[in-house]
Amino acid sequence: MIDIKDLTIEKAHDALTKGEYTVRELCQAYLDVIKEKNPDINAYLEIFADVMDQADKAQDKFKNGTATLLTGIPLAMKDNMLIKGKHASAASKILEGYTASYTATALQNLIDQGVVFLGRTNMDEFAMGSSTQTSAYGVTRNPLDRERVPGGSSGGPAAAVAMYGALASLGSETCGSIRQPASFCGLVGFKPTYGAVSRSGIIAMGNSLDQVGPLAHTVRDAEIIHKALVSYDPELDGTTVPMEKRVPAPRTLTKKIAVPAECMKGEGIDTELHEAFLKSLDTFRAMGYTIETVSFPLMPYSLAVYYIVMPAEVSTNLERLDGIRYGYHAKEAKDLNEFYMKTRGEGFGRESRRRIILGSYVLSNDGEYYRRALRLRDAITKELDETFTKYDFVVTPVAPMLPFKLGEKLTDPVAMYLADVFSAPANLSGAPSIALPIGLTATGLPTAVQITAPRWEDDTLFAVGKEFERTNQSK
Amino acid sequence: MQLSDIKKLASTARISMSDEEAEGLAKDLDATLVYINQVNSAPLPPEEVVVPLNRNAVRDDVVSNPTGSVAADVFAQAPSQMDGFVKVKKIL
Repeated sequence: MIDIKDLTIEKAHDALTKGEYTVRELCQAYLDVIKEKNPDINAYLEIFADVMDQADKAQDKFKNGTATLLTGIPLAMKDNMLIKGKHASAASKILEGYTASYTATALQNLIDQGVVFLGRTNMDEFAMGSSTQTSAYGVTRNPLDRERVPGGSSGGPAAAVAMYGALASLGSETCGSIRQPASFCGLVGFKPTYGAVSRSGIIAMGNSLDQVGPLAHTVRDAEIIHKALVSYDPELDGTTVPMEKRVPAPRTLTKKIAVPAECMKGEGIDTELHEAFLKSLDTFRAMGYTIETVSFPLMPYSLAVYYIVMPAEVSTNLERLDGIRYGYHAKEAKDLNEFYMKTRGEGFGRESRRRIILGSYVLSNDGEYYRRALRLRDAITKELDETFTKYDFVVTPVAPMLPFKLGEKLTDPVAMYLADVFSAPANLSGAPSIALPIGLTATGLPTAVQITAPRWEDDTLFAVGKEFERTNQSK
Repeated sequence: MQLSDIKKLASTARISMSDEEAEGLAKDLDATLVYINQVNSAPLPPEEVVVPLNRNAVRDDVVSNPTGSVAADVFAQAPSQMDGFVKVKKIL
């Protein structure tokens, strides 16, 4: 009997190497959980038919001595990632029945090591949302409290891991979509430096913001997966950075942490969550850090800037979904224009339509909004860069609220958007950021803290994350 | 925002939309615009020509797939095709 609740990648690797169980047996343990829990939680949209074939290939690697840490590790992936020959829909009706004609570079990197992808998991449609309620294929429930949302947009990948239906998973993030669902499901979530991981084969939402990253039970698991995702992909992706240029700006570490004044005071933050956050600062103090309250004049504008840049990119990006080359298409239309109107009107869900229209608006009037947002984005990045010359990290809550009830906030878009208020600075500036679980509230809901570091200090984050994990556990 | 603004934007974006949805959207977008209008009061540093942090890298303009090697996979997704072309509805 495999104790999957106590499993990490290294433990599984050790057991597979020693032959305590086979890759098939490991995968079957997860498939059994999925069979029991998925009908209610709806984390997975599809379990791949070739799981056992993948398992056999991985087992061969153990036989011929080419196994790595990730060989045979059962993972879940988000429905916006392409594997040749498999369906991918970005949880949208407009991509219903679409079969990928190529494999995403980041996923290929993992496939080369022999991971097993169990299936594709639910998300907000085209990753637009913070609760996995905008999917065309039903909501996903939070395994820790099934009346609540798992967060989003990577709610499926988060729920899959939290219900022990995968050892870890791949999510993608445009603004908080890995970190926030990780925090809602009691997991570690990591958003890498922009340009670290290839975006080829990841269905784009906001091109200047999107990155792929892991959700896992431990920082070490997230680190192992992230390191395997990373590559320079000049042939297929224009945004990955050459390896030799992935060098952080030189700085002297100060053992000081910056906490924005609003987060210290708890403005707009759930009371219980804020208490947990303040307690987590004691863990940093126990690690030898000094906590200082810092006021950031521009950071509070981050989410507003994001809600200009993102819809602008969304509206241009989703232009390609026209029903001509792939995906859903209107059955009856008298001419090409009506065909487009109907295909897109029927195929896109409500939130996608809303953001496409918002994007069209912010790009109108000579792009006045958009240009102002770009200038602010640059200024926010500078503000953050300067902070990192004096402070090792910026620490905040992940989201301002605890996991909320299903159905909440759906009729108030701005209230939903606020779930990402602490996420935006890292996405706008390209900085790496990690969400770490810090314990449960009295009613059993997970709380979390977020650490952000300068660009290309992804490894520094894993180091501090692991130290935090150890210190927090031993307290 | 007026209903007519929404209808015009929807038409620009090639999205068919009922009047009822357009009315709901006008209200939602008004609330969103109130939020994003913050950027107009943000203290902006003086305008300078900045080189954006992110720039697109472009690969050499050479054929990297042998001709026809991926055509079948791509065509397999198109709803309508004829003689090696994707077929569209009449334009006029």
